[in-house]
Amino acid sequence: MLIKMLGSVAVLVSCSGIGLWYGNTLTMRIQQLKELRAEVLLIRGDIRYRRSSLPEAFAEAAIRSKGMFQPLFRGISEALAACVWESFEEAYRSVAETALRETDLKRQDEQLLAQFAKMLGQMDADMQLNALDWYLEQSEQVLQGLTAEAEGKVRLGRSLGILSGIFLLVVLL
Amino acid sequence: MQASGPMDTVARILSVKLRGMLRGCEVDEKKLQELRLRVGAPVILVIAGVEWYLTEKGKLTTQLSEAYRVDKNEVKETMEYISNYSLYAFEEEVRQGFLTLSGGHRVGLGGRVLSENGHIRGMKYISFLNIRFAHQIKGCADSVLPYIMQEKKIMHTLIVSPPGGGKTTLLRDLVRQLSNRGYTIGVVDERAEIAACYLGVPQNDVGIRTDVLDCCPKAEGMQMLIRSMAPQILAVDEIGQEADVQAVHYAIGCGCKLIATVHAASYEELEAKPLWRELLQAQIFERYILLEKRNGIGKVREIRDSKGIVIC
Repeated sequence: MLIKMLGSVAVLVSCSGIGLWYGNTLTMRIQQLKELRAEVLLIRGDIRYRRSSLPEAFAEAAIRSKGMFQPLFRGISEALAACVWESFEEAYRSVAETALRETDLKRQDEQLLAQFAKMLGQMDADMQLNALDWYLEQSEQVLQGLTAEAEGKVRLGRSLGILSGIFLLVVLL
Repeated sequence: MQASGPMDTVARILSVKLRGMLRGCEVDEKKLQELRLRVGAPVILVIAGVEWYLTEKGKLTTQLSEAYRVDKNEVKETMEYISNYSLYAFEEEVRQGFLTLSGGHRVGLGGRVLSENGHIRGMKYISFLNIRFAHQIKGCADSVLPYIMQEKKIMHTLIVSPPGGGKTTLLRDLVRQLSNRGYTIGVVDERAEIAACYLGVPQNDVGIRTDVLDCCPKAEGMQMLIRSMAPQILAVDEIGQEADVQAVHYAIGCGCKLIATVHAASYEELEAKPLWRELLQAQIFERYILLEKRNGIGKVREIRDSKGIVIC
């Protein structure tokens, strides 16, 4: 009987945990997208006001950023300084996969970043600012969509986790 | 200050293929003057005044048939590295036709110039690169220093020479020596030739009491320095516009000593220029150092006082 009770608690806790993890992932994605946008905004300021080169702007961002994106910014800055990649996009690609592995960003977010990287380093300062504005605009739309859905999805995830735990208990008992 | 050899610094900004080729060739770095890249043309190195072609195996040759020819993509790749993938950050330098590298080496640019209302806006199809290696000549001002520094008093000095006569080299060494002797010096380095700043840091030794305004128009720069940095001596290269002459009056009126350079082959040629005639008659400059190019090197030909009388 004791073993059955312990098993039931374990099933209930793990199913609820999965529900909570799902909700947490969504919340973390939103938080990280916000963090990334804030950094891109500062990079924009760096380029607009100081006309910083891309390695400088990303090195500054790496120093400033204490969060999930520090490896990405540092990696880009180092890849650019190495002078072995033919374009900014190539340098970005060389570090993105590893640097973004620990984040909660989805494929859609990574594709947006890759498109953004394709635009950077081309032509004049206005083009850089336009590229940065484009990314800020696109990510804002993604964020708005996510935030609107988030509350419902988080609640749904938690409820489904608990309910599926109860369902499994009923079936198993 | 130079951290690594000029060849290392320059090889780092070349395309990966050219970098490998150049690293394989043995060159006396002290004699290295220029490296020229032109789309469809051989890589040319000028060493002690002699032209050499680079072969694909990284050897130097005088045989044109053995020379490696640069392609468009290699120049494009090299430009990416020179500009740190950020040509937009060097718009002003591109407008002036050159970029400064770490170590003070300069890259001259050639291509299709974009202009708007008669002003140069930028450059596209950059197909010609001339990398000129910096060689600071410390001590070249030793012989003129006693004439412009009497006891503790510094004379307003004008260095006069034709292009390539060594006036910037002499000015740089004067700045270095006076700065290290206790004078606060402000340098307006419009073409980044005196201090050759890279990311704001002078790559040439310009002394311990020298402040530099890099890539700043001379007239505005002189006023800015006087207001903000309180220099005892102002140093500027290639004065030539009316605004520059007005700024000279302003600087002298503020009590600053001035060391400047100007393009002219002789004192008489300077007198013939309307803009300068007035300055010469007003005896604003107390010393004129006239240089000449002898055997490819700038030498002091004569030194004159404020009245134009030869004193050396």
